[in-house]
Amino acid sequence: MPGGALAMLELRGVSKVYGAARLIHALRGVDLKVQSGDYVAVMGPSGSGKSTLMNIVGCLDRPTRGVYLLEGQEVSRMNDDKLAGIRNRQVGFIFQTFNLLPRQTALRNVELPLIYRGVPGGERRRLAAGVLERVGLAEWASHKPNELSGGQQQRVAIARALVGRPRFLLADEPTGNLDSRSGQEIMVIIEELNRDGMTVIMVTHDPRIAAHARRVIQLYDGRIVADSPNSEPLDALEELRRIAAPEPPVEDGATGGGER
Amino acid sequence: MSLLEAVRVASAAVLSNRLRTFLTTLGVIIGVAAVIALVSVGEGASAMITGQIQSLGTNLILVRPASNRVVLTLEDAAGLARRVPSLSHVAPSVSASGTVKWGLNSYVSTVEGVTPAHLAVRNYEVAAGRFISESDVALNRRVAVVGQTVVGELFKGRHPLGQELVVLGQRFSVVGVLAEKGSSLGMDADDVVFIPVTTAQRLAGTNRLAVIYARLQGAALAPTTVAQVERIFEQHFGRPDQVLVQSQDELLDAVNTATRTLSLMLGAIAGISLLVGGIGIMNIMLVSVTERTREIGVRKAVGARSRDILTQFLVEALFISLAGGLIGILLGSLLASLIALFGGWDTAVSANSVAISFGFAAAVGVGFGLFPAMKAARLDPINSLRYE
Repeated sequence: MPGGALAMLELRGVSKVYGAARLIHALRGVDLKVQSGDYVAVMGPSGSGKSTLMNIVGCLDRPTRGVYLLEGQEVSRMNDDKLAGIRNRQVGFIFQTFNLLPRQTALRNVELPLIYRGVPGGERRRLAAGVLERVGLAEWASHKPNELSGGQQQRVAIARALVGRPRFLLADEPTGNLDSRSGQEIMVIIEELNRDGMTVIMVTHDPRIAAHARRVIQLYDGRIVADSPNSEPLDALEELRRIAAPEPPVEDGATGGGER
Repeated sequence: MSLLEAVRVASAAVLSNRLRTFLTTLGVIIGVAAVIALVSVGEGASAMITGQIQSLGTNLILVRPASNRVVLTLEDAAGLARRVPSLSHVAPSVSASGTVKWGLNSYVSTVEGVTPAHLAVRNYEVAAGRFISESDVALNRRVAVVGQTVVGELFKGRHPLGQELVVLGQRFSVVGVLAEKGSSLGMDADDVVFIPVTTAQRLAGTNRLAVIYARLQGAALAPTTVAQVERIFEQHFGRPDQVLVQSQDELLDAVNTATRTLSLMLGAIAGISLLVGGIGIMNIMLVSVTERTREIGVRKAVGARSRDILTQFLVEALFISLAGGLIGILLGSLLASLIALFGGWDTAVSANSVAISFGFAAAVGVGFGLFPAMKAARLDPINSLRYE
């Protein structure tokens, strides 16, 4: 249960204030601990501070007040270059809009974090090809994003997030731009990754997506108003089977049988 | 990110929009080509004038009046020959452009009044007959020695020896024909009619000389001899600077200074177009940064530091400007050789102008690429990721 001393990431009294003339309090004293291997959904209406929280947890932004410890390291006071290093090694981002580089192949897109880590080309391609295979896109490696379906693009993005072996995945509405079946396929991959030990923090406003997580946090007006374990998380694979199942046999027979 | 990786990323970006890249590069191409072509024209002019001066002969010094009020005479020339032992020949001369007629043919050539020493001083040779002699000069004879161009133009191939010529309204008999000296860099040394200097002065109704050519015993004697000649004329006229005494080297220096100024001016004009090309690069790079805001956000999110983004865009600008520089050098060289071919004007593409314009193109790339690259590097990843 959350509360142990060995939290993988911990926010203590984190606040974020924007603006100069009119101050906007995006976060107001958030305390949060996430253990290694956790599967957390962050929910809340728009304007509740979800995005700000995600930016801070993802080391894209620094809190105005409070402390953010990642693996016991205080990242809230690091400079931009250090934060870039943390993002590169510890965080795997998955975005709603995939955010792939349009002119680069799937493989090159997956290689991207390794480029900034200085991994030599050969090894980079080998690692990238490995994770592409893991998300089931081995034969699509040389295709550009516009040649892939939305679901495939998101899987490339997941491969990109995984290739650097991050400490946690940070997913921002990962299924928001996908049809229900492709979205469910993505949820299956995320769930598998979590089962293999990957910590997942997912921001969503969709309760059916949040229902896959084992812990659900509700944000409202920059504060955590609820933080509850989900004792019966949805099984993504089962959901997928249900969606992907053929139409009821009766209907199937009616259209496909007889006359021909 | 390694530099090699930056080059790969930049070249991929630059090649993904070929037409735009080409149009951007065009500014630099035109600028560099203009620098190369115009400077080569300047250098060609310099080489031409240098060649003309050298074609006068070797180890020459020239004595000319500094103004119209100063009169140099044959006596002054004779005095020089007597008093300056380091001069092997002294050749006083007057010259004018004049109409030369033979029968019904007429031709405008350079008519030059000379003494026998002229042959040696100016490195002419006689092909047939004889040159102007001492007695021609002493007796003001109306005799002429003609160059090969005049032979061709006026006598149309007829043998000119013994023919009667009308020069400046007076009859002359042709006593000699010069061997062909050839035209050197645009100046035809064979387009000349030599007559005795005294005859020329009488025709012009003056005792002035235009110039005294003098040949040195050796090139090393030039500075001391020039000083000595200047001293002689300072005594003669009672004050300095009445005549210009110049060795060939000094003349070359003066001309080189003038042509260098010309080259510099042409180069500067061309440089301005290179600058305009640079502004074009900056413009497109700024557009590119805006267009690729999201890409920059993604790169930063997965761990690119500001300096990685800076390098990427700087390399891109450099890529465009250096490609433009290379193409511009080729185009400029081509242009220079076309000018030489069709303009009849010798051009010389120097390694210097190639190196300078290439370096300038690189500087333009870095200089004008820096601002857009810094703009890209400073983009905030959060807003960039949301940029539509």
